[in-house]
Amino acid sequence: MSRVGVFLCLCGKNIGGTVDVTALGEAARQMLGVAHVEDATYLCSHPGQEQIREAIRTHRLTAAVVAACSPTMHEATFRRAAASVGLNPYLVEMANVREQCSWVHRDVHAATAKAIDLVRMAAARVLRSEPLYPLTVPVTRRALVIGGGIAGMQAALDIAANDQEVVLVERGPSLGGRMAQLSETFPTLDCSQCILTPKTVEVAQNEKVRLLTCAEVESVSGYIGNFQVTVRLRPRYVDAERCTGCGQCEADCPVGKSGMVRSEFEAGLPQSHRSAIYRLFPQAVPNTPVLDPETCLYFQKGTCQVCSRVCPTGAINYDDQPRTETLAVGAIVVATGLEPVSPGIYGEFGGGRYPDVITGLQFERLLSASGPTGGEVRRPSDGRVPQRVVFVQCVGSRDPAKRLPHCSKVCCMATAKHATLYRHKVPGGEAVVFYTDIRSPGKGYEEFVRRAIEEEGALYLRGRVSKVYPEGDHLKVLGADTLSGEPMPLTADLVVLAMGLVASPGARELAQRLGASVDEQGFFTEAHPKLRPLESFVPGIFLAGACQGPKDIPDAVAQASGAAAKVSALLARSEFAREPVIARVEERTCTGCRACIEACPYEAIEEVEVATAKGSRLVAHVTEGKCQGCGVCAGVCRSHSIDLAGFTDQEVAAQIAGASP
Amino acid sequence: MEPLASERTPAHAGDRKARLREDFRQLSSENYARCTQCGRCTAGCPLASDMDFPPARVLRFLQLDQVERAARSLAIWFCVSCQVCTTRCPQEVDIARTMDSLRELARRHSLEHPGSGDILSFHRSLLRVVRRYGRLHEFPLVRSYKLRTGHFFQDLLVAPRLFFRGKIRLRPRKIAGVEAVRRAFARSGVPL
Amino acid sequence: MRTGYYPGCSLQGSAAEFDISVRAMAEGLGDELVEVADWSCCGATAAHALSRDLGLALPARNLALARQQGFAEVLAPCAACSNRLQVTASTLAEDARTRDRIEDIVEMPLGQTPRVWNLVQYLQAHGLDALRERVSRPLAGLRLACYYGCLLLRPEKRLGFDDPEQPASMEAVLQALGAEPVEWPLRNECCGGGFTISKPEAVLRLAGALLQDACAHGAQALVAACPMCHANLDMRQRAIERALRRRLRAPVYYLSEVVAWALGVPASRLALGKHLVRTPEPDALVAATAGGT
Repeated sequence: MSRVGVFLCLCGKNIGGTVDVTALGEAARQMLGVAHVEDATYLCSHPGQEQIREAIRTHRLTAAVVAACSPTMHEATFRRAAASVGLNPYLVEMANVREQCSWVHRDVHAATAKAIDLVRMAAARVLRSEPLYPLTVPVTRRALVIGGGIAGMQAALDIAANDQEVVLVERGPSLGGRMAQLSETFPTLDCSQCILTPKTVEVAQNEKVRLLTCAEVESVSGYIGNFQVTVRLRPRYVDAERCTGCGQCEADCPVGKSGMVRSEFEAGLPQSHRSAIYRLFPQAVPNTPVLDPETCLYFQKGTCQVCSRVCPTGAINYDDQPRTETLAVGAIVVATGLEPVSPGIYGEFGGGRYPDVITGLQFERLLSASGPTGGEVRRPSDGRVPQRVVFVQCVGSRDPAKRLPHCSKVCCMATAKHATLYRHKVPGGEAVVFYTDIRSPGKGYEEFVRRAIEEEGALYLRGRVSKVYPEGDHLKVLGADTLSGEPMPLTADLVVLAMGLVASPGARELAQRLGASVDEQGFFTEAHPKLRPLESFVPGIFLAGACQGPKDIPDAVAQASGAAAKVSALLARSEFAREPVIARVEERTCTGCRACIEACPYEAIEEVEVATAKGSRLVAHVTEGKCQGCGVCAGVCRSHSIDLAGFTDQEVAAQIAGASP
Repeated sequence: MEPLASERTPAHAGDRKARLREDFRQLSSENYARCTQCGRCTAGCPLASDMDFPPARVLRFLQLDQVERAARSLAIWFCVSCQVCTTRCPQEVDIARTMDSLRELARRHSLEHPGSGDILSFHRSLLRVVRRYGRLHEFPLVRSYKLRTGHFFQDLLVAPRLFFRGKIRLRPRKIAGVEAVRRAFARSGVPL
Repeated sequence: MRTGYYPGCSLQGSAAEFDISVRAMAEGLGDELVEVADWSCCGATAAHALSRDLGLALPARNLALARQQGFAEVLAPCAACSNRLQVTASTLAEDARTRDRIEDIVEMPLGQTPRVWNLVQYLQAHGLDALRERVSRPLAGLRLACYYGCLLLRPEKRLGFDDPEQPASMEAVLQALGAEPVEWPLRNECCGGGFTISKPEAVLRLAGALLQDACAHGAQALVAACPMCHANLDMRQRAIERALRRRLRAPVYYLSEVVAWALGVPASRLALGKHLVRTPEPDALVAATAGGT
């Protein structure tokens, strides 16, 4: 025998001011199944909740309707109150008479009539609700971090510090990411490698972190707490156990001596070259070289093999094969970083073909002591020291015409840094910066830019550059200064383009494998842009660092630690509870038509075989951990064999019918 | 600086401003709020150094509702319609067409900058010849231009070289459909 | 192939050699060019500079005439004409209200208009491989600077022809003829256009910069596809030399002249003598380099 209690909240004047709560209460008393009605000024308050608990006990209520604010506000509150006195929380239904009624209507008569409708609908529904019990899902207590840059490493270290296992998968041959390519970092002008290498070493030595390099995530299945990840490991062709990192192979490789292959680490600078067997940079972790079969003479032509001859420990293994490994993990952190836009799309700046028009990252390599010029700023064309360097900001950012409308956030600071470092290295040189706006919001950032202008003497001209082209030995830069309202054509020895930033190549494909989403520039979309910046749309997959959007190192580190905290919270227990609002299949009527499987956006339904009198047949089966309770399957099922717990067809139909008795 | 709203201007000035604004909006439906004043148009304009206001500044006037100031500029007449500004604008503002619209507005309301004389005379001479014959012919064009501008001695040395290479026809002919062309002129409402 | 032909006003007057060479070139390609009967001026820059409606109406009349006369494609060798015709066609296609208004002005239907080709597009339509096969006098290593100017390339959105910043279509044509086009960064910059009479100092400055840049990059001659540009580079070259105090003597070919010559059209039919800067036949230029450098 159902005994539904109806609780009406006045919410001060919020509801009581527009809805006639007395009339509402009288109408409620007449509703089918309602055994008790009472009201309060603020039901969500402690006394209010106590009132509900008391009423449930005293009147032996079997279900409750709370007419108050939106469920997003206090459904959990009222459900907890009910549970504390033994009433199943899923038998508590809220009727939103505030946001959907008193707050949007002025006519008391009409608002009250609507509120009565809403309460009747809720009561009709709750009469058909069943008690539901939270599900528990087991948790694999191991995390996967994808990407070995500063964000990935920070996340891995923080998770490991909580005594939890981490597997860190890095696509390249070494840890370090973009930060390893930088010379100094703003605003402190710390040497980037100096602050980075302690992290890389720590990661390599941490017992809880298993490092896989030359590795990529090939496929991901499963759900939060229970992912199965297949990782493909490319052959390094060097036995890490035997290699001592002596570097002889690299030094003697004839490809290196020929200077034919440009180094990717040096961002494609013409002065740079690498061997076919190489380490990304001297402090690379792991310090084992990798052999690139595309440029190796042995692999391309069957000759050479110098490296294996000079290797003192016989560590070279030309027969190394790719292999795959499957990992079980409970949480995944994406930390795949970003890359600069290619200047190839800007034909007006030479499209990357003029040797003395370079990108910001290439300029970093010129500034870097371990770079191709030993830290001296020299023109790629003739090796001369440039006497005037023009820096062009906003190339590939804030450019809707090129479908790159976003601001890349760090280039203003990076350019101020470049201008400052250039002036340090070439004291008589002129640094000119063409900017659109200066964005320097971080701690010490504004002061850093002002120092570049006031003390280092960089000339800042406000105007976007129209064209850069070679003229004789120099470059002509057609710029403008909008503040004085003049075109500003200048001659430069070297032009540095501050390229916009987009997600690393392959981000989109990785997102597809994960079931996560990315935006037009490939940056991973967060679950909520303000309040949930560290989570993707897939439960259990978190975001750290620049893969979520361009950012500087402090923000990447902070975000990584935040993601790690969420991962650690997830992995802290061996199982976790989740909402039981999931789909359920009635196997007896399921025809195995697969419509629900195709429709499910979370890939949470699969086909399973069930035994029948005549043998077996295929029916749908919901993976509890993956189902998000969206209800699409229930909508497409032709035989009404799949239903959503907490939102069954019966409940919803009753609710609709309750609107117009 | 002129006030942004026309509330504080005298009534007749406010009407005039509103009229110009309306007329201009008819000619150009661009949303000038899109312009970030980045200056790229100025940077690439081949005639910017000759202009009284560079292209970005003319657009700034439009953003500040100073349509008359824009229409009175010399800049719009020195624009050679090379379209580099429109091609390179990151915000995809059609600056070249804006110049066309401002010229048309200036003609309608007699706001042409005094320095526009030669260039405007050339355009008008060209169009008058086209209206007369249906096609352009150099001889009447140059004759008309010289009469308007008084630059009688310009290119005097080049002319014979052109003439003796058969490049100048002294007696141009009208096309058969010249009346249709004249009607098109009349209906377009262009004051020549 | 039978293509409609819209010579435009300049080709009937000061750019007569352009018209002559285009017709000779078409013949060499085995193509028939049929002039659009009673065509009128496209309005060039002056029309759209003073009136939006006139700037659309004058080209629109010609598009309608061409369609009436049954042409599917029309070649407009003058870059200004092809630009106005193509921009007008594109504008009218996407904006029905404007199209209605212009239809009233020109009193002709403007629903579907023929395809307009500039000179390079016309050659592309023939196929560069077919062109290469017909070459009887290859331009053997002649270093030519292709000059595009403004109106072949911009506005990119409406023309959709070649990359406006690093164009290469004309170079491809010249390579098919055996020449060695030079790369030079100012090939898409303005020559001063219609200011040749009304603001000549701008032309001297801009066209002067172009000539210097082309020569600095090793060009033996320039190739243009617009009579306005040609006039600024050729007719004004002596004045430029005086202003720069520098001898340039850079011949400026029309694209159709080099193509026709390479196809074997005798020079006597090409009217190179109409240029103001002495323009020898291409093989004479090649010989000059072979001897000197």
